[in-house]
Amino acid sequence: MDKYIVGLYDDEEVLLTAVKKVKQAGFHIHEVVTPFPVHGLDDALGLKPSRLHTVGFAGGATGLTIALSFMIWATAVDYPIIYGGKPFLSLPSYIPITFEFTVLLTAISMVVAFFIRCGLSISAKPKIYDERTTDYLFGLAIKVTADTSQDDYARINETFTNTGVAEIKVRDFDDDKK
Amino acid sequence: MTETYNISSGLKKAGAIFVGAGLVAVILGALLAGDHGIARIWSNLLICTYYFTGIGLASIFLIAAHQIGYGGWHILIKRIPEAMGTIVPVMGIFLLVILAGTLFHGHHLYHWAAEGITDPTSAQYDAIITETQGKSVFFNPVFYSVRIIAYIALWTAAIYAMRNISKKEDVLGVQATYQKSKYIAAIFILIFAVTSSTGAWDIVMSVDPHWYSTLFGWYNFASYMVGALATMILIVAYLKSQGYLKQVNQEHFHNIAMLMFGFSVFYTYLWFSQFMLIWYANMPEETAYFMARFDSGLFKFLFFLSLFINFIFPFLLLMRRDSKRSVERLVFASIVLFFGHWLDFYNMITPGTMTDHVTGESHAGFGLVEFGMLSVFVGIFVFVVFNTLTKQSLVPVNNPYLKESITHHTIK
Repeated sequence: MDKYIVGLYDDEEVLLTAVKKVKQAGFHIHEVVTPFPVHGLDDALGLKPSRLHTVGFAGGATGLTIALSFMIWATAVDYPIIYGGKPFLSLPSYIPITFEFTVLLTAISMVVAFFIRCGLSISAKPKIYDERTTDYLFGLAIKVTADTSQDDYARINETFTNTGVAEIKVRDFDDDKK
Repeated sequence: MTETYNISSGLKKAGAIFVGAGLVAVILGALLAGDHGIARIWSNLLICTYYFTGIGLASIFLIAAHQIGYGGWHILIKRIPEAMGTIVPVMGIFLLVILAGTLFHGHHLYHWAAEGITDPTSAQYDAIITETQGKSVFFNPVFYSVRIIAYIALWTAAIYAMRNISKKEDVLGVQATYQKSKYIAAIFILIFAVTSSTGAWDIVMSVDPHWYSTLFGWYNFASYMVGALATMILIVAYLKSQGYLKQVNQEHFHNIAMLMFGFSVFYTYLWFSQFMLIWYANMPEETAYFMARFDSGLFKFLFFLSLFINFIFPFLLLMRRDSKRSVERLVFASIVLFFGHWLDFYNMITPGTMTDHVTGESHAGFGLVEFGMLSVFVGIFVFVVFNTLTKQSLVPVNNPYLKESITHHTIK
């Protein structure tokens, strides 16, 4: 069962207060979708800081190690050759390639990690609660399960209404499969 | 909303102590250095004058770039770099003193200006400057004086124009000044784009007149830009500790620190570009520059020390987000970087100015004169900059981006 109650708002300020109120009422917000970045939304939702930069650091460190060790092995160990009258192991000449490779792996690892984490693989089916959320509406989705009672439905609806919602809809992604 | 700044008597006293103690150290150090004491004073005068001129220019450049780029986050602290710019006319006086010394052979900072350098019968005759590279066309007293005076005039005029329009904005409101301030900022950037490079050649690179590097101007710019950002952090942190600039918070520190981190990396990029090309090509007229810095133990030590404290130290410390948001760590990093780039300029200038160009003997030293001169200039800087800060409200109340600056925050 992949079913949500979605509150659609038409103003970002109303959305921000709504997020706080819905959280206060004790509901778990599954997702908030907005047509543009809303300042302060991360704080209101209590999201943890992104860990993407850790992936970037790991990618960069890998790139640095691979580039440096390969060049040292190739030009100083496996097939030592004198070029430019420099010693076999001359570090300054490795720096540009090391730098480029570090940047390359940092960028690629971050992009790949970002795509995987956001579920943006090639065959991925985007979950669109309402198409207007890509245009002018802000959507706040609460997940419902088989355990959710009629009472809960009523309470969610009431909370949404109290926060100045523009429209409430129930979105069941199982319907798409039929 | 307007906030008036008053210099505390403690700061005035500190400034006076910096100048006084510095002067004593300079004189004492020069006496201890014996014959070469005077030469060392001139050399350090050049280092500090250039460093502080650069700090003033770079801070004005920072506001000008934000001005034409619709930047808004810096408005709350805009008055600090603006005040730092007023150090440039004061440093202009020292530049004129050095120029007078060049013209009347009061010092030997610039070998190309030595007596008889273009006279084949003289012992000082230098064939490379006169014939081989024909540098005496560019480096002759008349053209050189015209250039130095033009720099001082252009910089002073542009900086005062920026300041006056900002003063007007406080009184007349933004409608009267906004468009004009953009033009002035654009003109300043145009002037600075050319003069930062040529100025670096004239003032610093020509102490080694046989040697040349095309990216020297940008390399210098990156160096004093970090110095300016470090100084800015120190001044903002000081003003905040005194209870001023209440609306400035760690978001603003974060942004200055990002710039400081970025320009530290940019500095290293240029430092390495200059070094690696010369090291790789290995051409005698170019490697001579680095030979002078590798022959002496002092210069070699400073060469690698400045790479460490200007790159590895800020790279590792300022990489983390929480370091950029902690005022204590930023103040520590700023002090280290301020000294780091001063050392970098020391290493750019001293091997050229303190070496006898005929015998090749080096008379350089590092001690009382160097720290004394820096202390004198820090004292002058404190007097000039904080005195300028009292003249205007610390918060530019009429600026259209003020609200953006107050609510500014960086994405996690």
